[in-house]
Amino acid sequence: MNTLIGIMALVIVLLIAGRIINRIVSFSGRRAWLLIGGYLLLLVITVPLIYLVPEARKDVRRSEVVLQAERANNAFISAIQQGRLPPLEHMHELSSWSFRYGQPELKLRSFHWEERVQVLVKRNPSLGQEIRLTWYSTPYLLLEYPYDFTHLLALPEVELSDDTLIIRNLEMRMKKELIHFLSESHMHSFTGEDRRTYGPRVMWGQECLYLEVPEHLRIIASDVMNLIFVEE
Amino acid sequence: MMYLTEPSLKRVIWNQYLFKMTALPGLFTSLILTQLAAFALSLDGTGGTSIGFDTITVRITHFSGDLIFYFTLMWAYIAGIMLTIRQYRNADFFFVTNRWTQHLSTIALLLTASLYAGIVTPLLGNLLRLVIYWSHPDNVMTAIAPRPGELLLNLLITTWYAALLSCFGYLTGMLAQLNRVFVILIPALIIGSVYVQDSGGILTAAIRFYAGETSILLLSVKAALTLAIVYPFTMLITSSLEVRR
Repeated sequence: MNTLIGIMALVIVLLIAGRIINRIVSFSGRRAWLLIGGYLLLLVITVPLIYLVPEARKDVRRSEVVLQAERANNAFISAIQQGRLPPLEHMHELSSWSFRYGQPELKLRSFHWEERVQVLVKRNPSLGQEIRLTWYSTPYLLLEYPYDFTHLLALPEVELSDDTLIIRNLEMRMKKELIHFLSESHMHSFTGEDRRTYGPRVMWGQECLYLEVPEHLRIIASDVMNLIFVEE
Repeated sequence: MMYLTEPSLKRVIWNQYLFKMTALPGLFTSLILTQLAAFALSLDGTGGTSIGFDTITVRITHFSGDLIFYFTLMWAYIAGIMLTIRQYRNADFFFVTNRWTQHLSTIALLLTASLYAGIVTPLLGNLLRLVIYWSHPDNVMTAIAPRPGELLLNLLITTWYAALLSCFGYLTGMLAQLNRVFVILIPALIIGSVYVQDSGGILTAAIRFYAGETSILLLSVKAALTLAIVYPFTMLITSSLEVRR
């Protein structure tokens, strides 16, 4: 039934277009030829223009953004496996918090915690009566653009209540609009493109919460939080 | 009978071709109008996807010249038909003419129009990309320019497809001139073919024959052969028609 409706719609469009063409074909004159030549000229000008814009061509595979993200991810995984803080040069510091705290014990409580987020704890003798938290992430990328959307990640709310540090992951949703230019579908058999693979490819970032505490503070965390004590 | 000047076949065809080019700019302006309509419809995007991460929704709008291409093919088919209607055929009789020169000059006109369509269609796709780029300065986007060589490839493919569609349109129009039954029979055949396309209908097979091609050289051979068969066939079946009726 849908096919029939589609065909009928197409036939109607063809008939209307035919009538329009019929009416216009009898039109002649210099102005029409100026229009035809002008149209061609205008479109020919787009060829140099399109290659001149800064976003003309992107070699995503060789893009420094992508290479840096790959390096950052590899360094992160390797550092976590060795029980140390990943190198900071390719990581985004998303947020940091600092609290005065003088008690011998600290409870970590989380809401909507994601287990993939590592909690790195460092005992820092120079801190005295202070605890510091820093949220780091390696880049999150949409590869085709390449677009680093790490800054769009929702940051948790952190608050200190008596002897408990509460980390609340937010569920707010942020929207981002992107534009994807596709080659025409009749080109695909020649270029080998497959439009089914046009879903954006994502390079996931790695996140960690870096917690610096006084040397003798005892930490009690819920099971979902994977604490890694780092030395350096 | 003797004449002061003996017109050669080439000269007659050339003169008729030039006359048609001058007298029928509407063939080209109708293409421009059709393409501008497709361009306007493409400005809102030809599709899109949404993906969600933990806290983020990314909405991706796709832009392509697909609609411009398909509208152009539709134009080519209709243009082929329109050039067979009496009003335009009779214009040939300002000149010394016969059925063959009439056909050949019209075919030359259709091929010229197809070449024009083949050039402007991918270029209008470029303009679409530039307009989107300039009108969305804050949006993140993929590479704007087509890959080197892709533009030329697109131009060739579009020209061949437009030439094929206008050729089939011309055949359709001429068959309708031959017998009015074809006015009903051809749409019925197309609809019927679409209906059985799931089980491998003739229309699907025909589309696959051209659209499934992966080499531009082979597509060119296929299209050129088709034109070399369909146009003479059209001329042959209409040779029995009166020159002017």
